[in-house]
Amino acid sequence: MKKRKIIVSLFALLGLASCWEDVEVELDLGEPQLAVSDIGLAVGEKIRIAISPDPVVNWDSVLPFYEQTHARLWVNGREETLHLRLIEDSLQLNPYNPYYNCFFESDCIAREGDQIRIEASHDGYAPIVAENTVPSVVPIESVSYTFHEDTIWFQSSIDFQLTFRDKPGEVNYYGLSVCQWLGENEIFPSSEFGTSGYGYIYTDGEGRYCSYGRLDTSKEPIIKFRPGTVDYIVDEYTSMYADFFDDSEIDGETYTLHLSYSSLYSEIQWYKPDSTGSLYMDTTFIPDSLYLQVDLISLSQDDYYRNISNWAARGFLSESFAEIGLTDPTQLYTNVKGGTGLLSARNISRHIIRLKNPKSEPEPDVFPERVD
Amino acid sequence: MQRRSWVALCLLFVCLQWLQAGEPRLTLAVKQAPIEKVLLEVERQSGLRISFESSLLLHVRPVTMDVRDATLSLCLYDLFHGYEIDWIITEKYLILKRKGEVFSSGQDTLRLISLQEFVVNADSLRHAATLTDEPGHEILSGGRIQQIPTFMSQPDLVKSIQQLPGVALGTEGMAGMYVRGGNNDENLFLMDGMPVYQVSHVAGLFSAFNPDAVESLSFFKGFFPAKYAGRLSSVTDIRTKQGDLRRFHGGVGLGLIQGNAYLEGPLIKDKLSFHFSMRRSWADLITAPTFAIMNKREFWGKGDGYNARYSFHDINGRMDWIQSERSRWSLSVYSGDDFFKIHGWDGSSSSDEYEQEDKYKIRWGNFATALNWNYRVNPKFQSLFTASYTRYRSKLFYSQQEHYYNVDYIESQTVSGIDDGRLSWQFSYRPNRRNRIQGGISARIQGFRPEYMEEGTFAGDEMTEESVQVKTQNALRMIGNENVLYLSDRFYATDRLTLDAGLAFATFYLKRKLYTSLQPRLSMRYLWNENWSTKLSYSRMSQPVHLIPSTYLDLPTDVWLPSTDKVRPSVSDQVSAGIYFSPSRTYSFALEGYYKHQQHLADFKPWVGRLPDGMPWEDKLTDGTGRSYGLEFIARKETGKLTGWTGYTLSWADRQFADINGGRRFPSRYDNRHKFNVVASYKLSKRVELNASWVYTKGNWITLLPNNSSPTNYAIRNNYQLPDYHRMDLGINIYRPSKKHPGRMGIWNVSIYNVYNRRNYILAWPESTDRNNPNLVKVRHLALFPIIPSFSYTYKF
Repeated sequence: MKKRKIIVSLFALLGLASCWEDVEVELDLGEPQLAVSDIGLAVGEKIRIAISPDPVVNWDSVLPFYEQTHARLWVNGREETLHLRLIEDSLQLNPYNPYYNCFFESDCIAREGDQIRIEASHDGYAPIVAENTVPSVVPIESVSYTFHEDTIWFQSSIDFQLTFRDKPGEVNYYGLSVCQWLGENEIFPSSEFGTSGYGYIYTDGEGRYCSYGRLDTSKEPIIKFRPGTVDYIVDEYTSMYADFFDDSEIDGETYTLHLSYSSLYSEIQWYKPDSTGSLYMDTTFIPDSLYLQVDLISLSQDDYYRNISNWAARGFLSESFAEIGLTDPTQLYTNVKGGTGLLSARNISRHIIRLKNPKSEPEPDVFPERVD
Repeated sequence: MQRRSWVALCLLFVCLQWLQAGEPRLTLAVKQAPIEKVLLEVERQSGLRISFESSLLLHVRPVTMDVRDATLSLCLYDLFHGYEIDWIITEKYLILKRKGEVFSSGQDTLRLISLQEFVVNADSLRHAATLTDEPGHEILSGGRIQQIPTFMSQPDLVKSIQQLPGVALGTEGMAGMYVRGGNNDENLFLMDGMPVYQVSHVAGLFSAFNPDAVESLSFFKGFFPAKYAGRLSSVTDIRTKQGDLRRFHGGVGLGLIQGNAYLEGPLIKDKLSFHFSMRRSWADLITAPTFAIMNKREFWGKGDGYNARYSFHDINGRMDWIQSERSRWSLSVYSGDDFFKIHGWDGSSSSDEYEQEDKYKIRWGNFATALNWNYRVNPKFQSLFTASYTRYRSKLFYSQQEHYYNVDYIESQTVSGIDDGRLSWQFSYRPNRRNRIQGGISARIQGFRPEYMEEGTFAGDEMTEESVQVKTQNALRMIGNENVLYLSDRFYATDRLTLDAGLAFATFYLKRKLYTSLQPRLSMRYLWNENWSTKLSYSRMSQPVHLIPSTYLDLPTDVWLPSTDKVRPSVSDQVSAGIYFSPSRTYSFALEGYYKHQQHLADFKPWVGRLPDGMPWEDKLTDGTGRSYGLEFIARKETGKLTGWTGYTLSWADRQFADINGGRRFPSRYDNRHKFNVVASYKLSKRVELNASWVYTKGNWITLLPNNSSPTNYAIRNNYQLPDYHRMDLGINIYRPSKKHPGRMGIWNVSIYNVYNRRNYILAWPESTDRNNPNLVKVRHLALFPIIPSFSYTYKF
């Protein structure tokens, strides 16, 4: 924050007696588009696609919009039937966003190498076409780790090494996702949110409660997307390292990633609102074990480019300069012709690290019983 | 007696020969040419600057003469016998005057006059002569540049060019040049043959060219002589001042932003001279002690402090050596730099155990040098050898050190730059009166370092320089080779018809990829009578290097990128045609039209980062086309107390990229449909000169979305046009010659930028959106430059 103030002050100095004026204008934003949302094609799951208008004007009109949208799906050249689904609760990818209440679902299960194609049309919108191929999985061969216990704040960290073998002769793209499971689901109320002190709890695609701490890839030279000098100047958030890479330097080789994960929570504090709306601590839960879920994600090229555009968008130029009209905003990468969004396709290799929770050990007595 | 007379005559003849032996010798072959054109040729061949009172040549008729290797005096006699015109030749000037006019006292007065008034009036010579040259060709002198009122009283070469039709203003206050719909990187700047890559200071507020060092510049925007290659839209060929071969002169000046000084004089009389000039901003001389005092008084908190500094400088140096009548050498050097630094430290105000220190530094600038050897083999054949080297660097550095029991340190540095070394040989050959053949060859080596990054970290108890672990990225330098071979002939087919036909062949090689380009240049001028002429031209240009801006500003973090196997050289084809009318030497009118088509323009893909990150820069770029067309009108008044010009441009410029704006055509950022310019200078008296300029233009285009935060799903580019822009600047120059010391003079300049305080909005962003209609947006517009008075004082001796 301090750094941003310096930069803003410089601009203000330059402006001396700069002045401004607000005007209401009708912008030319082009024709509205159809957007394919990023549900993701995961191997072993039914193919599900969400198609919505962009921009979304009225959330209440999502179901009627789907009912009037014509969507078709081809898998490996063969057309598959799509069913319109409506689920009251969210898809549990993002409980705060009703955007995913409607989606098209196929009975077809996504498999490695499947070539997926969708077409969709809706009155008043240009028709869209999107294609992608489900990448093959790259299995994690081994994971070793070193646990760093924090007995003061109980936010421990872990250094771990992940070994895998890249597939030779083809261009492969990878992503990393690391999160902490927070324990058994039945302990937590399903419709309330909680905080574990410094982070928020999310539910993953399988309905488990997870916390996403900080994945540090700075020691890993294969991660080429690193903060630039300008990012360091701005703030710590934009100086984080990326979590995606390609195989241009390791084609066909066995490689070990050196990673760190911090903010492993040993204790979960569950808050509820009282009658006045203020939050009070309701439950404290100390699990016996800590679970760290490490995913090595095989990305399609389109998913990789999408990561690049997200990375570019968090930079100083894209954020601050674009907000004040000094540069063009970064556009999200899309593989949807005639529209926007992403027909995503990925494959996941997963490893779970189980650790003994240091806080589950009984605390030593400050005043031990005297033994004569 | 007869013998004595014979001896006296011989002696006189010998004396005359001896006297004339020191005079320049000229070869002139013209038929019915305007006197201004002839005098320009005299100026070029003699090396003298011609000065005259503006109305002196009004009645001189077109000239026909054919002399070879004749003395200057003889040529002048041929030109002006029969007219009431006389002349004085000094070491640097050829001053034309009325017969019988007497100058009060010798050489000092001549120098004084030439410093003040007549030098400026020599512009009329140049402007009138352009009526008979190629379309889209302008010549400006250093004196004319100093006349145009400017921001903070700082005469600026690029801003002067921006006052011409066909040149967009760009972003207010910034020095970018956008010529006939082109981008900022499509302009070639040559200073005595040295290319200059970064032409601005302070993010573009001032250009990198010190007007004190500029003798004249030629600006080409329509037709490009075959000797110029490497850029699409314009060529600005700058000649710096040569030092006086007889006497020392100099000057110092001080303005609100900067100070400047120059000195010229002989190292060996009549043989070797030098000209040195420099300017430097002086704001940091105030900020440094101010911050020191504030830190000492713990203004920011106990143990906290800041130090900030910004400065820029330019140094121009030139030496000229007249080895012989045929051989001349010159060595030019240019160095320009910007430096910005902020240093902050967080001491014990937050915590006794915690300390933090941040440093930000950015430095960018050019260093360039050129050695020119001009050799006249014979009156028909001249050659020019040039060896030049230019280096541009930009360095952005950041470091942070935190000390909380242990030390955590991180530093990051991004370096980009270009090294450019060139050898060239050019010749000019006049086999007869009708032909002027020019040709040459040049070889250039360019080293590119687009995205070099260093990152250093340390964590531990005690940090030393050696303990910081440094990693580098993109350390490899790319070496490119560009060669150009050209040949052209200016053929005077008849008295009325002149044809200029040239061909340039260019090659560019880098990373095992060779590009070749054949660039025809054709120009035709038809003189209907002494008042009317028409011109038509065609030029093909190729550009193997690209500077793609990351923002709408001209920032030092922008990087020069070469063409590779993935990024092709840009190509442009331009047709220009015009009609020109000059009823007298006082007035001239020109109407010119053009159409330009550009291919393989490079721009960032809309979804990539514009600063160095992990993506190879070649993969970030996409290829597109551009087109621009328009009409330019200019009316000039060259003589009298009031001089100046007014211009109007009607133009269109757009772009089309498959990856941008959904593949649809979109307006170029500087597609300003209409532009009006008025530039005027009025001599109130011999010592007071009033200057004014007024400009009106339609606004620039920007990308404006309901929510400008990134990332966005909108595939839109340049969908909003800023409000119209107009501004008036006024200035007054007061010349105060010293009575005690003839030849010395003080010049006061008072300028007012944006006299009527017009709010010209240069930025805009969305503030809020209507929930029911995302197209309806409240947009905040920001103007940066209100009315700004300023002054400067210059002392010349």
